[in-house]
Amino acid sequence: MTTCTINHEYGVTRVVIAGRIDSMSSAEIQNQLDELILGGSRLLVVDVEQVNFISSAGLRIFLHAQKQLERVDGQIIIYKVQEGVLRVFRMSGFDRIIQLADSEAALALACSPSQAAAGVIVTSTEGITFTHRLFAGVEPGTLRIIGSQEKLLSAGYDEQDVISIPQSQLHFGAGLATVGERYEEYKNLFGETLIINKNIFYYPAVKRPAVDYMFYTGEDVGTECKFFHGFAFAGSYSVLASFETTEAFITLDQLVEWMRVLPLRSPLAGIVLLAESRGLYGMNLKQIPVREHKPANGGEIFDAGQVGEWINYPIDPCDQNHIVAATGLVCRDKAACTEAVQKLFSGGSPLHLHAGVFEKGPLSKNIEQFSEEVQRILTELEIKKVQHMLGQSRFSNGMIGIIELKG
Amino acid sequence: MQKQKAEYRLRIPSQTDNLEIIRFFVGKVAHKVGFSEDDIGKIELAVDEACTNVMKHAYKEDITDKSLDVAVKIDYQKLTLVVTDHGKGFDPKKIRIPDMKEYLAELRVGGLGIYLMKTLMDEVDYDIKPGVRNQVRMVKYLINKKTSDILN
Repeated sequence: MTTCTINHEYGVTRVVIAGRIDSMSSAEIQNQLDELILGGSRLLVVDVEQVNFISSAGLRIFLHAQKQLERVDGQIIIYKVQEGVLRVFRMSGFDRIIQLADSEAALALACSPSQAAAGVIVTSTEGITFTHRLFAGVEPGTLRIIGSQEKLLSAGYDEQDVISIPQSQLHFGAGLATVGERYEEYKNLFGETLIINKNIFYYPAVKRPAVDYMFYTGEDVGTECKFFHGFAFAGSYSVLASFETTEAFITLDQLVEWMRVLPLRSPLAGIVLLAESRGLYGMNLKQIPVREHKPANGGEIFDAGQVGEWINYPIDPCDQNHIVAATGLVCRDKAACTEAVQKLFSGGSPLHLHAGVFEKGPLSKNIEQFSEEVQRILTELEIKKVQHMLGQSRFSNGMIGIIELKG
Repeated sequence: MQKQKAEYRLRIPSQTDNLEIIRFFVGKVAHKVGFSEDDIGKIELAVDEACTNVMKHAYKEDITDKSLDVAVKIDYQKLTLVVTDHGKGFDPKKIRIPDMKEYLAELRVGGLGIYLMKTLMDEVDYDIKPGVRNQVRMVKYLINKKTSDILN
């Protein structure tokens, strides 16, 4: 009988295995390790003091865990390997690629945080830990408001409302947009749009939609993004932060609250958020709000009789464990913003974010690698949908980049 | 080591929850004939790898006889392990023994079991009769093979 017990202490996850690790028991152990990694554990200590047999099936699960953790700056340490098992590690060369520790002292050394870089501030409140770095003297970035939302509610958009912006001029942004050349061709492809690092992801508001995307190759090939409305911003990060919680989840609203207490000068911020979902509340259009689709009775798309036809809005949180990459605006002080900026926030919400929901997987928490991690998620993971994300959305952990904007 | 020849056989359903019984059986025989604890560990691991291969690969297709035979033959200075199954079989020439450096650099996950078998035992060979039976035969010498060569 092989057993696998898990305990968490001081940010380290300890997995104690007793018995034999063969192809019978390895599947269950692998499930446990996968679950821990998906749950946010980055430092796994596997105590094998009571393991007296390991086969290649066992080696494989450690290698698999190491592979997953390496991508997100994590590590697996195999603790107290006994003689017979150690021989198998040596024979296969695994002792050279997987960190082994034979005493508490060796373990402490192997676990010592490599992230304790200068200028990093760690704060903990109510089970949420924020680790952030402030970059002093960064000039505020610029915001561009594109079109207007006025015709959204009455579904009144038309060809003359289209605003075309070259891909190369769009660093970050969100809106109701699409990509295409002729109106007749692209008018049926408008949807929630997300732009990060000039890469455009849009989710057409049609039956059975699939996200379409246009990566930015580094040179202007004439691609233009067509907006009905939206915004775009550009600038350098003033703050890079990571967050994690020992509670069940942290909400987007809590993240915004935390941003309010940061010593920033500008009332408005553009953010780029990467997070592991614990349940998302997102909305997306089911029809494109062009004149042809206008509600017959002159009503609006949020009217009780219409909303079901127009808006996809799940009652329960969705997409557990998926990776989210989002961008948008957070208003830290509404009164200090211009009227045009205030109009970007509807219903008193301090945020306007669009989120790409990507496949499941672990996420790095190393803020020094923020840009690389953004790039990895956008280019390597499969995207499922793009939605307007609401403040109740829940995360287990993630990273956030903040660009101060002129309000 | 005992001087006479002997053979021990086990027929068992081809399921991973029987691996422990197979290792126990083979380990006991190896112990009886005088292998060191160290070598017994190696022999147990080799038979585990061979049987796991059968369970995972050879039995994917639908066949009625899902049992496998483990025979341990004692012949003076050597122990021969023969694992026989009735799965589909494969071309042993196509088995690529991974270069461990390459394996670890790429963190690939195939071929490790076969690499271990070759490393743990003194001889490993296959006898495949497609659709009839497949055998993997592994030998471990009681004394180091090179020493015995010198003695001879």
